[in-house]
Amino acid sequence: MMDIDLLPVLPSIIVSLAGIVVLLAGAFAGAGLAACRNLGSAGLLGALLVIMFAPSDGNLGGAIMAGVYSAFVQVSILVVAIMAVWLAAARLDDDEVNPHEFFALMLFSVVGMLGLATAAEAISLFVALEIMSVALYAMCAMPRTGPERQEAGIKYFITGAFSSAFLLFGIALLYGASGSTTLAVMARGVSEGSLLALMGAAFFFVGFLFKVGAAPFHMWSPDVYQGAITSVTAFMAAGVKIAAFAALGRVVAIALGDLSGSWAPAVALVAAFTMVVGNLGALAQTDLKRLLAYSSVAHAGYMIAGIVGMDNVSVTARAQSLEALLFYVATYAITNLGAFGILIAIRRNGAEPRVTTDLRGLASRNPILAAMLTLLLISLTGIPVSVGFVGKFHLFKAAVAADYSGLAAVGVLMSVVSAYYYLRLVVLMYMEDAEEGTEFRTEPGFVPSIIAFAAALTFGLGLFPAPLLALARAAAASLF
Amino acid sequence: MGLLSILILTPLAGALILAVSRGMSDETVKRFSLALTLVLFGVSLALLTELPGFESSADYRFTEELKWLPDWGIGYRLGIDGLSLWLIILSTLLTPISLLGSWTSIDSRVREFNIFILILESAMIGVFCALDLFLFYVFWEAMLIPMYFLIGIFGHGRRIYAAVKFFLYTMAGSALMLVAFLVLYRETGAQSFALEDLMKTPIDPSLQMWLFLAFALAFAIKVPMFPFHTWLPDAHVEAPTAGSVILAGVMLKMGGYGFLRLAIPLFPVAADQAAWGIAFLGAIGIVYGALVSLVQPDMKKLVAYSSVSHLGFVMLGIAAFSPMSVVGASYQMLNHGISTGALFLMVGMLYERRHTRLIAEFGGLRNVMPRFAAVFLLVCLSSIAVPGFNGFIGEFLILVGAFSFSPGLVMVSTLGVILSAAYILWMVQRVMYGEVTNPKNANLPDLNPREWATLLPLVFLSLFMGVFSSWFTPSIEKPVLKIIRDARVQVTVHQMRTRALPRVATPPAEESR
Repeated sequence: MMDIDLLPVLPSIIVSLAGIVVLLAGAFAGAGLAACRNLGSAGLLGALLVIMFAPSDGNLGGAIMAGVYSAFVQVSILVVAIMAVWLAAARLDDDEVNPHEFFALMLFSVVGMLGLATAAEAISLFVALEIMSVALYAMCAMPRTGPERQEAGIKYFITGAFSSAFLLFGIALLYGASGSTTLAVMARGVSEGSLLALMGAAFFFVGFLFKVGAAPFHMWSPDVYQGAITSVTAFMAAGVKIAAFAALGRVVAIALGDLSGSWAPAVALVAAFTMVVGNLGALAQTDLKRLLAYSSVAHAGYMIAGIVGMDNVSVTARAQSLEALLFYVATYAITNLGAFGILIAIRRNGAEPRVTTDLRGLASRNPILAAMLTLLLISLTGIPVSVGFVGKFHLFKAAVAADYSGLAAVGVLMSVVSAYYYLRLVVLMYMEDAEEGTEFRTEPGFVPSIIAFAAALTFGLGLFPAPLLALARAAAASLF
Repeated sequence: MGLLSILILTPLAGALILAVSRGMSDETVKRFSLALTLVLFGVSLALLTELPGFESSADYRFTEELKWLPDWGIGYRLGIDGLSLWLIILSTLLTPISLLGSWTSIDSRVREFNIFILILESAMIGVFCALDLFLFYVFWEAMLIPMYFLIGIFGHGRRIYAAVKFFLYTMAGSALMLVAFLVLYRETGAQSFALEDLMKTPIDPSLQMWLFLAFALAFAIKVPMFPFHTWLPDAHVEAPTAGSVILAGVMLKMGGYGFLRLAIPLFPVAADQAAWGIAFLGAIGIVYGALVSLVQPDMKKLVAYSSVSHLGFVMLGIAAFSPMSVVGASYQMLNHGISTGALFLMVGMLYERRHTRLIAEFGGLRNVMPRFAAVFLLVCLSSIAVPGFNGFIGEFLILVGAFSFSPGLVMVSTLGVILSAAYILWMVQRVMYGEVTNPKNANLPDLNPREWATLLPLVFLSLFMGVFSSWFTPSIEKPVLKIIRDARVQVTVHQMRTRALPRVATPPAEESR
């Protein structure tokens, strides 16, 4: 028998097994919502514990590369996934979704995300991306009865498949240029910047930019965010961002770093365009989920600035830019999940708040939830003292250090634009009154405490970001 | 923990206590915050024990330094000199006064109101203490949120429009400043955001202009300097009295303070090149603000536009950059805080009695409320800088100090002095004198003890500062002289370099002939 160290993929194995168990328990033992939720979160927690207490730096024959980098990313993904499981559990009955199917798909998707965090080779990266995406396509189409869910699922599937094709083509070209699919070997093959390598890099970027919803590849995201049930949207918005940016960051750091002079100016344009499109688009939205979708496009733009910042001759500066990206994406995911959590937590006249004006007068009915949402929105805007400010400061610092001051200027000005639509929600909550007879009910149980966790983290890390920054730094430095 | 940290953190702690103690009655909340801010004012007076020190050197005192994000060279660095000393005391003085001033006018969501005022106080003090750009920015932005809520929740009519406009305007101004911080950080290579470290490396003059403009935009909006002033009338008119007092009294000062503390010391060459433009806009602001004030039917709007005019003097004084004019500008910032603060309070009192601020609604109030009318006249005289009052010292120093810089601009600005007498006295005449024409005004109550308590300190100070200005100016002079000296050195070096180049280049050309 071959001697293979499975420790680096043990977290993925645990989560997959948990997924299978949930599926079977639901199908054959009739496990209900609570049982599925508990099983699912136990699996995720188990994986988390393995990463934290049995860290590994194995490479499984070169296909993956576990280490500090993947540990940081995987821990973020698992924390976000656990939060998403509990958020979803509060709502699945109302949404008429079969809990075991839902949680099983969610866990499978997490397996893909975990894989993206470790992938050190183009094929395993692609496979991980597909595992994540295919599960998400199905989740978006849940429950099967709602036509808008179907629309979301189909849309996401078609654009997702389209982007996968780009990605695969990019990988093929890079392989052609370098003769290898392993990132480290690829780096040597593409460093001279042959036309083949450049085209490969371009297609590769397009594929990923589709996934993270960067403009002009973002068209699907508002429709999908709005169409899918909120539990799915929340999970997708947070998890996919972390996983995709972690994988992209690794590829750029290892394989495409030396080419950066060729692609970075173009990617910087995409970043600026994404910030502009996302923020201006959000201005016009009245639907809460579409608003958050456009805001998430905008944030993808800020994150891409972290990729652009890696176009720096100094290796330390590159690592710092990647560190900024990791810090931002991890904290953004939690903040954003908290913001979606509010939609799940509140029942207005028995229904989920859909349009922005549904939040009108929330502050007088539920001051604590309103205050927490305000804190999260302040962080999303990037105003001190919040983790969003530290994150943006860090990202733009890296961009300026790489001589992309113009991109940083676009970024901060677009943050001002974002203040308008985020503050509009604050205005509605605090400065306007609800219509007569409006009744707000708060979801009992865990949802408010999950939001409170997100809000506390947002504020606490805004004040004392140093510990998380140190972790992100170690993670980023391990790739250089 | 140092004295400055105590000043910054105590209001925050108070806000936290208010936020968690749900059982407190509104009355208790008010008393608690008033007592807290009064005590804080007392504590801030302890800074004056070092007054001889402030008068003898421009060094920062009460310095504190804690590591915050050491990898980026960001620290919790605090310290004050004579320039910030008085502005801090002004902040701690105006906060309890504005709380007392809105004792009865704020009757719902009292707890939130007090929380926002306390957070605001802490951020304001922080801005004046911060010696680290990152920290400065954090306080600078943190001020926006409580003020936004104060205007948006407790304001009048178009409060939401005004609150959002205020927020977006100010944030847009400071956004580019943040990028300038980052570029500065990269250029100096100091790996530090400490003001002291950043000032060590002179920046390339061509880049200086860009960075200076980014800083200047942030501060010009805050001042506000013509043509960036349009948010101010809206914010002032819609804000509750306490918001207006703090906004005009303290927050507008941060623009001028920012120029003196950051923009000019960091980019002296660019500041020198831009000086004429700033002075020009300042002079326009003086005249424009005064002219617009003249035609305002609303008293609060009149006072708001008069701020544009008064702050124009401050900008003229700073841009002229002579020791006298800059000291005058710094003094004028304090004066404006006191006299305009008092004016806003008194307009607020009238509003509480009549629920209108339209000048046409009043008339002959002197017959009904003689004490109010007397105090109002004193405050107005202070605002129009009659000799004997504080405003006179400030404006006089500015105009004399700026004369050698540009006699033309000074002459234009002097027009503002005359106009200010016109619009203020005309308002006094229409509101206070004559017969009571509107029956609604016939039975207005005169000042009550609470209102006396809010006004007396301000009236006293405006006289005291007008007569005993030598009590304040030596401590302001020291840092001002240092700022001017340091900046002049760099400007001279730059001029010598740019002039020296052609001289070196010419001889070979002559030889070839």
